[in-house]
Amino acid sequence: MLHSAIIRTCLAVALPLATVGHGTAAQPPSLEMDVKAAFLPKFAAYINWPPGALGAPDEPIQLCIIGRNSFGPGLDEVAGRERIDQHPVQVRRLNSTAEAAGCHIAFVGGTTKESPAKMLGALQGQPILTVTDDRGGADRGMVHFVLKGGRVRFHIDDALAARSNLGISARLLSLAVSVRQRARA
Amino acid sequence: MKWPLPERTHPDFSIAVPLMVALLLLAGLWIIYQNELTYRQEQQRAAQVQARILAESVTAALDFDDRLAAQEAANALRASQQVQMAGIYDVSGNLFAGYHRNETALPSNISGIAQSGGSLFHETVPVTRGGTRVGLVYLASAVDPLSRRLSRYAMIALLVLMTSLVLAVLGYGQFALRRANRALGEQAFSLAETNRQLEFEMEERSRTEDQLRQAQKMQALGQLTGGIAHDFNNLLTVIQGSADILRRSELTDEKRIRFATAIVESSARAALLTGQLLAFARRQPLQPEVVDLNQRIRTMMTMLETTLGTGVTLEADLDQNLRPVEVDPGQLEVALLNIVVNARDAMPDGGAIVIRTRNVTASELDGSDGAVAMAVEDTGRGIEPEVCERVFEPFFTTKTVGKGTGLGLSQVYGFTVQSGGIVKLASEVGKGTTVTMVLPASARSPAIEEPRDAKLAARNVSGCILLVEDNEGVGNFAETLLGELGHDVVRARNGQEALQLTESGATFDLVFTDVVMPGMSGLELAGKLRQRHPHLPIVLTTGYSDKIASAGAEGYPLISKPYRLETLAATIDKALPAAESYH
Repeated sequence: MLHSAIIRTCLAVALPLATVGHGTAAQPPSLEMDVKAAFLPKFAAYINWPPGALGAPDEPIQLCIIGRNSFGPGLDEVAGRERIDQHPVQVRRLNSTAEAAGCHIAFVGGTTKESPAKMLGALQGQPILTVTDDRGGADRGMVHFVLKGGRVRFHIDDALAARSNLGISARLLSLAVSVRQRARA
Repeated sequence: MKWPLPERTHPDFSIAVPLMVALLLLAGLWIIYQNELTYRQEQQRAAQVQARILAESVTAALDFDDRLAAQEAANALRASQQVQMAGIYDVSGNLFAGYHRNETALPSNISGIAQSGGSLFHETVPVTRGGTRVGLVYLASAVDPLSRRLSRYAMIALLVLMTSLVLAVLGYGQFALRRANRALGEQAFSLAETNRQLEFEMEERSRTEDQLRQAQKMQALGQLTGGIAHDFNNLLTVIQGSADILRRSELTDEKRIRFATAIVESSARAALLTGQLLAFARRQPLQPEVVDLNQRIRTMMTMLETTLGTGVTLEADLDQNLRPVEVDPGQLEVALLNIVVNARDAMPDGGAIVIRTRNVTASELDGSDGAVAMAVEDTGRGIEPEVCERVFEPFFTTKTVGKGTGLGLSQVYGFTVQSGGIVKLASEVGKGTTVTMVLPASARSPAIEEPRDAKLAARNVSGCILLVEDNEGVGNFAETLLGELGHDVVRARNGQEALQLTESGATFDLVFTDVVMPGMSGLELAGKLRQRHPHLPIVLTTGYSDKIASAGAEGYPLISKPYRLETLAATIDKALPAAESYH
């Protein structure tokens, strides 16, 4: 089980490389989503939540998928393998931000009732790392997935994270396509 | 003296120095080895640190599959010259990103990574995130090139080498010094040996010299004795023969006088001889008078001319303003005669002798405000320089045995020095010799000399004389002479007898006593008599007396033996007048 997952991840990495030379963005959406699914739980390792937000070491970090998304069961699989300092990662699929209490990371897809912007507004101020996808619209969370050069990359809005009392590791910031800097203290 | 060879008390440096050098080299090598080890450890640690940093910085890149970021992180290590290869491998062990400096490419899989070997440090560090291993970082770091490491150790090596060199030089110096010391010790030993031998030889030589000196002394003494005996025998032959003839009754007056004269002359010459003997010893009692040297020379001229014989001319060049001198006139005459006779003997084929007198300033003479020089020049064969130094030595003579006693110039020297003067000798071989007597001038004026015969004739006092003489022959002769002069004579054989005679009530006008006698000496007798009879005149006579030679006659009139009739008469007469009032 584990072995096949690794191979899949590798494929996800190898394939975009192979297509870089052609300059096309002909990446199958499922593969792209797999990459994003692989990324999502990993973000937890680079985020500093405010004290008390994470709970005991064996309590899971909740990765909430709110609204529309293309993540298949692969996400649960990837998240299940992940350990962030002993914390397991638990995937919750929500339909509304109203259920977002206890979430640490929230992928905001938006629903017909609730636009991503609205969702983001609802989550604002809570210690939840908000993640949006370019495919989902122009509204940006703290992390915003884009496809660049045929590869999944992300923008980071550190200023927004600061408003939610979240710290983002410089190592993660260094990988971002762009960073909106937080105000200097 | 035993000179011990130097003991070896110090450790042997010839072994110690190479040992120390070897130890030093070993220590140097050890330091270099340790340095190298430390260096390698540091390099390893540095590589490890760099690998860890790299691992830390690529965690996110691996997590989020960002090869560019990983490559950038790997490329950042290019700045380090040591890092040859840096590889980042993903969790499945495949090469994710990296760079390599040289030809050798990075292994594409984690299994191809060399763990060690070659000239590189290999370092692998796992990349973890929150306890989860997400990949691996591989770093190959180069060791400094050998030349650079060598240059780092060159200073140590140089120091070690220089110290070794210094030690070696010191060691060699020590070695050389010790060898020199040993050689010196041996030399000192042999030197001591030589010294001992030399001392022995010196002792031997000194002994031989002593023996030689003794032999020479004996020879000289023999020569002197021979000379004197020869002369005396000649004179005695004349005296004895003449006396034998005089005993014959049938002699004519003319012959009698001739033989008597021969006896008188021979005796005078014998007296001269003994006088010379004493003069050389500077022991004759001097009776200094103020003398006009020119007057004396003029008086002696006839006698000297007779002595010289034919072929030799004698001239006098006398300073008319010559100052008087204070010397014994008799000895002065003897000295002049000696010089002239020597001058004559230096001219067997004839020549000229000049006697000069001059007033001189002689700085050589202590405490004198002037001096008188009497020089006798001859045109003889001269004296060789080496002989010049010895002519005044007693017994030294160049004449054959019997011709000279070696005492002539010795008397001149002895007399002059005793009179406070000096003798100079200037000679040139083949040209001639000048002997100069320099005598201190006297401030006093010479007495007008009275003719002796007149004096003898004028005085005809007679008295009773106590004659003290231990020698029977001399006593008889003196008694006869004094009787001839018209005196009554009482004989005493020694001082004690003389004292008894004066105490027995007999009265004497004069005591005429010998000085050297067994028991009481003439001087002691004179002293005692003077205490008891302060006005009794005393006249002393002696052939030779230590005391009188050194201390003088204590004011008593002194007649030296042998004495002539007129001398005796004059002295006695001179002493007697006071005796007239003695009774």
